[in-house]
Amino acid sequence: MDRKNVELTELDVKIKVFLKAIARRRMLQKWIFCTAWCGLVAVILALVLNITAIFVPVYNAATYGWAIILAGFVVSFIYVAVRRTSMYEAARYADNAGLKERLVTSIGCQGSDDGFAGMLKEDTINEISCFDRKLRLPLMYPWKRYISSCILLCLFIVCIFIPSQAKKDARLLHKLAMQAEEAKENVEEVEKLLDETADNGRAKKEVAKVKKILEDAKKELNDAKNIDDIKKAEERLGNKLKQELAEANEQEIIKAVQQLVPGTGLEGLADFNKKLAELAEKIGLKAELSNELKSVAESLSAEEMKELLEQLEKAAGDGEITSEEVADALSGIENSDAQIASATITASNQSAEGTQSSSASPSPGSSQGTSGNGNSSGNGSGSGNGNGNGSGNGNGSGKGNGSGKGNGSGKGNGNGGGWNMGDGKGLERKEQEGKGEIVNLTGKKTGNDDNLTGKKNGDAKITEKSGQNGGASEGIKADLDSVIGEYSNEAYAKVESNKVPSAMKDIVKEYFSGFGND
Amino acid sequence: MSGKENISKIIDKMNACEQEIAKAIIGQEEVVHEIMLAILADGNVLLEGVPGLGKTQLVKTISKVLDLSFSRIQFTPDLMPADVTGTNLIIKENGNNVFRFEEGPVFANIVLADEINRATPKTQAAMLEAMQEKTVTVGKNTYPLPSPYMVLATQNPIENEGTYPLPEAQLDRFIFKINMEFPTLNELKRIMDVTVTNTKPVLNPVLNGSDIIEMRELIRDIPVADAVQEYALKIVLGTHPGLEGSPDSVKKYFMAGASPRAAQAIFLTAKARALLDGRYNVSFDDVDAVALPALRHRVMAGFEAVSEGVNVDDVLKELVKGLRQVI
Repeated sequence: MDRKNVELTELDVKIKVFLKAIARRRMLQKWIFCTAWCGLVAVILALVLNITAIFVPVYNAATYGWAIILAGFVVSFIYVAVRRTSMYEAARYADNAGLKERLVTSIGCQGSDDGFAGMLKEDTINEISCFDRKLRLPLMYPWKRYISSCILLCLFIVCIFIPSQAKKDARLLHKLAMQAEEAKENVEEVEKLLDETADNGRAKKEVAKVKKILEDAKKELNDAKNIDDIKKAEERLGNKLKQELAEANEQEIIKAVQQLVPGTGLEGLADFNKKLAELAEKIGLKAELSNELKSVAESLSAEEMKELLEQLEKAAGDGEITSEEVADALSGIENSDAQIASATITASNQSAEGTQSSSASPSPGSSQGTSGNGNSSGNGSGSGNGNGNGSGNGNGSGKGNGSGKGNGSGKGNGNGGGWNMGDGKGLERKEQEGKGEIVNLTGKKTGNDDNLTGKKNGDAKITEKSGQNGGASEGIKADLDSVIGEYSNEAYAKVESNKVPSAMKDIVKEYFSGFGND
Repeated sequence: MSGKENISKIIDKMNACEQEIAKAIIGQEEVVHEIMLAILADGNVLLEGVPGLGKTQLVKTISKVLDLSFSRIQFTPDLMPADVTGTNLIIKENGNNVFRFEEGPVFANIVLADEINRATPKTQAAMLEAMQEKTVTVGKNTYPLPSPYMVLATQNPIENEGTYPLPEAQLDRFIFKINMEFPTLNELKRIMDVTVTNTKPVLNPVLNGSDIIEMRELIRDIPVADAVQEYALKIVLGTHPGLEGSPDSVKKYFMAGASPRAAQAIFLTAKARALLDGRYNVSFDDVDAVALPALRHRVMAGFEAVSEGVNVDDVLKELVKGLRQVI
């Protein structure tokens, strides 16, 4: 018989009302047990998690622990709600409390009060009328489980406050993961934008290049083991993108990628390069200076680039632009890279014109070190602020001078230091602006004294110092090739021994091999 | 269908009956109660116990209290089937020799088959039809037995010499096999008071045949909940060692399980028990109470049980306990 469709009699209804009350009590009892179980299990899990977090980096273990405990209670609620007590179950529950299967049999006889069914139901109602639910069906509390849960909860709380290296590591790792994730998101976002902008063949090519860089960057981000790795990866990505986009023609691509290298005017970089090329053509700027400017421009903002261009154009007003003017233009920009470049160009100039500057040095007694050009030699009594751009009329070959092309740290002697030992702060110039020591170049008088405006300093002594390490401090002369060679070797060894990405290795190698070509 | 009052009256009569029997049978209340259940369930009872426990006395007392015809058959090895069922005799009637069926002792409301295992299987088999169909067939004629009818048999479990174990088919026809336990000290004292003095208990008939027949009809209407039915049937199935789900002890010690007749026996006697308890439904406790006497003679113990001296009752108790825990 389908009990659900049976029309209930008056006796059935009375029994059902009783059964509902029993069902509620049964659910309450179920929940008490379920909560105890779920709570205990949840606390155990939370405790295990937090004990683990003491030894193994687990980020936010305490929060997860609390979440697990909360979930345990929620699960118990859900379980009891889902596993609702049916009338039949309630009947069995009450029958076990002494009703001797009266209720369950009455349910089976629903819809009929004839004969034994009626007598049974009346008997059942009589029994349940004197059935004290609280007495016969007392709520049982699993105290052991509750107490165990409380003890474990206390341990859990204690574990939260135990400091450990693993916890610190976990926080660091999380930070790392977040940064990596953020970087990857940025990269992916740019990839999307690139996909959208690749609407023609040329753009597609450029996009493919950029995407390859982005893919490499993503790999590096995935392989990042610490925050430094991420920063380096981002830095390398920025550098590569700058290089790649310096010649990019598609403004959309540049714009898309720009968000990965904030603070740089990539969109203006291409313009800058174009204008620089025009300017170079117009004023006959040397290729190396042009390249130097290009590379410097990559680290400049749009405004700085604009300013640089203006200064260059201004400098080129007389038709020709010199290294000094380029250096001046760069030094006027408040950017450390630009200032370094300025110093580099200055030193380079000095190096390139070393012999000439020596011979073109002012007359003796001028004792002006000039502005870091290291051409303070000569006996002339000139003003001494010559920039070493003398036309080679100076006396003396200036062999010991102007050896430094780079950021020479030579103090006062104008002997510009090694190629790449500069402190990168552009301070050399200031130091070089100090008075240089008068150096008399004797025996190497290849220049033409007539061209000198100053007075020869015939009494000055030529001071030469040789150095093998290229330190070139205190006026020590170092052989350029040996310095380059040493630095190159050291750089190669470093990049090979360290985990430097291949792209970066190439850049380093190219950088040093470039010196060899010069 | 009788009303509630009628049922109450019958229940009172049954209780009075038990009290009346208790006058002559000291102790053994449970045995008496189980016999009353078997009477209400329309079944035969096999009483097993060592000599001197009052088995025969108990049956005789019951027959007096029930106000029913009673006959006793003392089973012996030379007892013949015809001695039990009756036979056709040639008698002279109006000058002619005619066959007339002379009823045997089996024709009574209550038949005491005393020491039933002493008769040969042939004679024991003569009881099969009477116990199940309540009829006796002699020659071409079938004679109905009086109603209500029941066989109360006794047997001695320890004297094996000169006895013939009852065949399974016959054992299955007993609704209960009741083991009579030795009386306690107080019960023994009371037995002495009754039996070795001149005080003779006066037994009054309380129930008659029609009351019993009416009650037998009534108890069949008692409802049984699905869960209880399932439980009873699982117990019966659980006695079968070959079936999946039977306990390991059953698989180990039992050779054969109980028949469907066992389930009928459990249902009917459980209903009778519920009614005598004043309830109109069968409970799990009712099933538990009747399971052992209804099953213990229907299962066949295996070699391991015999060799290890395992009691069938213990295995059955374990089975019932195990099933009760999982319902």
